[in-house]
Amino acid sequence: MPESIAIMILGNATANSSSQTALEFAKAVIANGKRIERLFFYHEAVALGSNLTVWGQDEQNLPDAWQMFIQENNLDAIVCIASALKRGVINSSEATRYEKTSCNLAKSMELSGLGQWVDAVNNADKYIVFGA
Amino acid sequence: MRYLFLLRQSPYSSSLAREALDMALATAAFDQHVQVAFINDGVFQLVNGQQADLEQRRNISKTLDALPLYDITDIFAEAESVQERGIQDNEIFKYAQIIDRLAIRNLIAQADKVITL
Repeated sequence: MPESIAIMILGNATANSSSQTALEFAKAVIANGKRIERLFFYHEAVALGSNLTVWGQDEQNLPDAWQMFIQENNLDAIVCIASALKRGVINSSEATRYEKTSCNLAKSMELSGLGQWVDAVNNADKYIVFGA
Repeated sequence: MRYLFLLRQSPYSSSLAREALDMALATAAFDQHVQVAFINDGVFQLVNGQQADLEQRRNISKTLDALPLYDITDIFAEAESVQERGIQDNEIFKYAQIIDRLAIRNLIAQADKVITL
């Protein structure tokens, strides 16, 4: 089995370059034949799970880039449910539960709890946190 | 697994302090051995008598009070961080032990997993 890495992302796409760096790192992990145990989006990084962001044509739409990377590599990507609900990132079942009129979580991501991060850290060979 | 969380954010400047503590609690809830060490501005979280309700915020001490309920009893504050900020030892959360920087370094060396946000 190739070495596995659990990755936590804390920053959103616009405040600083942390989540961009994290994406480049994750791509390098795959390119080097290692395995991503799980991606865990926490704190402001839950905004990367929104499928409603629109960026200018001369720059990379970072949430879209993350979502495409996850889909293409069939990765396990968890968005922290408590952080996400606070920040308006929501899937259809939570939208129904809280009587919200729409939902925006990207298809390739899943809402779940911190236990998924603990599990990933315990199972992975290494873990890394990209700060806010 | 022995987890050490280094908590270094002031309590209300962002939600990171609270979310880091939530992570420690969640980790303990999954039957891991959890230690928490407050360093740098993180020691401000431990100061007694906070009145976050004046700003309609949730008082961080509510989350601190949950630590023993999750069997987290290894709660440390770095002495140097406390002193540098003019905080008196008797103003600090009663379950926290004040230890020096060298002792924090030993905790880091002995932990299986060290996590800081």
